[in-house]
Amino acid sequence: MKKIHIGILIGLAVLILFPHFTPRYMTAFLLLLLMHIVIAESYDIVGGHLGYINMGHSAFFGLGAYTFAILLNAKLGFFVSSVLAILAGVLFAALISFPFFRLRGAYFSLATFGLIRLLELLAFNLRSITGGSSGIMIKAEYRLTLAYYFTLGLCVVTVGLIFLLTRSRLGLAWTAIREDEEVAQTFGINTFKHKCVALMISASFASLMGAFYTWYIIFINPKVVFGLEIALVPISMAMLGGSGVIIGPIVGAFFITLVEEFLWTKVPYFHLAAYGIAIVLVGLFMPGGIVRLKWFRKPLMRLGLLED
Amino acid sequence: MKRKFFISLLSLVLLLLATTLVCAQAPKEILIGGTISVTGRFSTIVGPFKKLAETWEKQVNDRGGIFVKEYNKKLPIRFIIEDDKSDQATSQKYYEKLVTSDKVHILIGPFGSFLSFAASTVAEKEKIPMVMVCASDKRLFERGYKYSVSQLDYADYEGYLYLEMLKKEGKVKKIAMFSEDTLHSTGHLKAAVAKAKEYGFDVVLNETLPPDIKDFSALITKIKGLGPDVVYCEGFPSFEIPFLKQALELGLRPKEFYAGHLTKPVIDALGAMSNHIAGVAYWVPGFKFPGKEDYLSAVKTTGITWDGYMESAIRYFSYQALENAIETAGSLDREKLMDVLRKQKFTSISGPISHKADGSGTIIPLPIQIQDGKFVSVYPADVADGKHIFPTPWK
Amino acid sequence: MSASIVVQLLIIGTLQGGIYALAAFGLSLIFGVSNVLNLAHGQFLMLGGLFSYILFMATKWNPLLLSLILFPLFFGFGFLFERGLIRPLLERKGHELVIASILVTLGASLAIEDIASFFWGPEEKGISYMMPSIQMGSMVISSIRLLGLLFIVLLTVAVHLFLKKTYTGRALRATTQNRQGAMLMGVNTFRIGSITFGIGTILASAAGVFYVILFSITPFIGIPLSIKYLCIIVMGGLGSLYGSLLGGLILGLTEAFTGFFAPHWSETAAFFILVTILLIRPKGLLG
Repeated sequence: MKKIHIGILIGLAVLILFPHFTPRYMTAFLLLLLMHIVIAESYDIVGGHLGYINMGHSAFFGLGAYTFAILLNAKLGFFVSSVLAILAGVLFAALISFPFFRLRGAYFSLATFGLIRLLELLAFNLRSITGGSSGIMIKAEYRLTLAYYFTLGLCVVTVGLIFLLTRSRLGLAWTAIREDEEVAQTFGINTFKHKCVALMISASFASLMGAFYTWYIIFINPKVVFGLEIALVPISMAMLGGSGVIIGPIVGAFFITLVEEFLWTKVPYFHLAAYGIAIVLVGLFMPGGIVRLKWFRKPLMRLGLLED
Repeated sequence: MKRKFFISLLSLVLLLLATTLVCAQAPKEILIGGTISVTGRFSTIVGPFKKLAETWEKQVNDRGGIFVKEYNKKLPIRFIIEDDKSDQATSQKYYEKLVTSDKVHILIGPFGSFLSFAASTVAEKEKIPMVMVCASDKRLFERGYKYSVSQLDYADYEGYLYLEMLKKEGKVKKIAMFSEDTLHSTGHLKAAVAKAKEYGFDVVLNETLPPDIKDFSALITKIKGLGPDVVYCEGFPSFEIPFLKQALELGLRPKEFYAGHLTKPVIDALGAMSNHIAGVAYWVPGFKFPGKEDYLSAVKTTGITWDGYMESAIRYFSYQALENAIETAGSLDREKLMDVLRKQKFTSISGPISHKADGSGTIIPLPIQIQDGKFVSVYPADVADGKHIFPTPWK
Repeated sequence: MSASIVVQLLIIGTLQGGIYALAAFGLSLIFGVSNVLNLAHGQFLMLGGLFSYILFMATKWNPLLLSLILFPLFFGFGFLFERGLIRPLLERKGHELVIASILVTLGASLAIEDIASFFWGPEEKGISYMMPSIQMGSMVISSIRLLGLLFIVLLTVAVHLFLKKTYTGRALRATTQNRQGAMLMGVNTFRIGSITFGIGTILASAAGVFYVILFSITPFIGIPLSIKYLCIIVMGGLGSLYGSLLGGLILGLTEAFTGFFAPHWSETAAFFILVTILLIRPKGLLG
């Protein structure tokens, strides 16, 4: 076994045993970190590997959250509600593929961003189903440890599956589409089918994460799951870390979540400004993200985590 | 004789030892933990309140602290406040930290019902008392939770006293009512509409508008056609300032405007046109309840004004509730504190506070009116420091 | 449902559309030349409103006149913003350009709103300036909005003439149509880009002045407004100035009519139309 595999296994073991030997709030913190990784990685399937910057990724998250909450309150049970939440996300992705994938580049990004706002407004207006601005509350219980393990599981599955997919023919097709869609089409790749599949897979992880999040936090409303804060999470983390490689969103999520937690609690002001300036710098000087910086490139490639 | 002497001496020594041991176990200070939305959506309402906590902490410590009977002395207090970024998960995470890592004695809630849903689960799980602040959504109290209390009565009742005043004066027939589509305001509107109908008013309009809407021209056109006596707008300043401006501009002249959550920025934004707009508030300078000077001085030291941040009064009487509970319980034992918190009765800066069985409180905001750029309380008669001018004398 | 109500709503919709068109126009101009979706546009709107609020509170002069003082200032902001943050990105292509422009303009937006909130406070701000409305029978026309509409109409005419008759204007059109070709013809496309950004920013700040007079602002309105305006210009057709005006008008009318009949749905209806038009005509109405 290569060194890196041993490293990953040790890391996993640590994560599994984590709640037993650390204070509870560290578990809560780690849960949020893992959630960010899931959302950023699933976004990057479409944003990084396929090359379509889907600014509306959190729409799937919110959809999964609401579906789960509504069904759980309708007494369908945790398992059924979760599965149907995934289904809702996947079906929605399939549905919007048809109109949205006719758009390219900036148009696509903007239209998808508009989609989140549309879903937020629908969540407000369809009161009888979603509770409107009053939000939905599920049965209140303390679920930290369980939610942590579920999220950990989902995170492992997400990263693992993306790893396998990028090495498959599907992944190859995605790369071809990203590099030059017209050429890919002339080579006989059914671009629409591959784009649609990418979106559906991307949506499935996000919507399940939305369900778990609801289960943990007990109460959701339109602003929380369809709001600007959560919409920016996948984009900024994936881009900051490095879009298009598996290790990228993970690094990005780690970086942003850790910096937020430890550095900024010491500084009372200008968190958002610092975050903003950091993003500007990334955009100007390292659009490839942290992992593609000269410092990190070689060691990561030697570890086998980064390929070019 | 000698034996008796030695026995008494021994007992005295043992007694002294025991006393010093007990005193040695008295904590150095009372730790109070909580989160405040320093950044994020709610920062426009409560952003500066971290400093307010620090100011109150200093006020109390300058008095020597809070007297805890169990240790027979005054203990200083210390706040540990984190920024929850107006986010539930962040708030919940920090409450965990405050209880398990920082080992606080008592918790003070985050801003609002929304964040309190998640934060109070920590209090319940860890069995530590939480004094919730600005948390008044009914659903918070339907969960049967034992470890959180609020001083406020249900959010639904906010407009009740205003409507009661209108009923008593008997000059109003038609009311047009609408609110912004947020958790708090829709609950308020629903209950207010029901109450208005109960009082026999003709509710000619009952609408909820998207919270980010800026242009009210169409709605105003509609309201004009209905000819109401009172236009009742429940929302926050970002919602009602554009509405009121446009209403005045487009010639909507009811006998009175009611606007929820009035603050000084509303007066500034409307200038002279803000005169005679009615609302409700949790505190106005006309109140004569105890603690007024301390409250005003705390607000001043924090660098804000009481009417720029009306929620500061609510937070302040939550602090008062906290202090009163510790003094009454005479101990920092969680069960004792919780018991006292549920049963406490005292007079805060906004009047008498007590609690219902489900943990909610009894404070309802009182009707006020803007008169010449100042907030004046107008009802009920025993606390009012001004007269309700009705109808509004439009020129 | 009388005719006068319909007319009143048409008036309201058109006037509101004028306000939307003001900022959308500037954004469309910027996109046409730089090919960048400027997420920071809404922040310049917010700053325009904020600065005129500050000036008004200090002097109590007519805010519309005060805004004229601000114009050169905002031209400078836009010019420098483009020069410092956008120009370095222009060498990149396709996928990378989109990522970079999103990151840079978004990051700048977050920094701007945080700094503004720190220095001038996060509370709601509005200017208590009112002009008597024009009464025509039972209908009322808001004078300030009428001014806004007049402003945008004059502006459209002015820009139209500018683009057709002046050298800079023609250079701008050339850059929009074919950047390389324009460069070959001796146009300093980089300079044009900065100038356009400056003009677009002035327009955003002007819209901001109307915002703070008619509505109210906080430092945080910038990003949601940027999204709204970007949607308007995409709906109208990227690169088409008239498209952005049309987009603004459609939005204003939709909000007016739904605002009367089903106020709860007014924002949703507007967005629905936005997304629908985009999906039927991916290039926008006049793109």
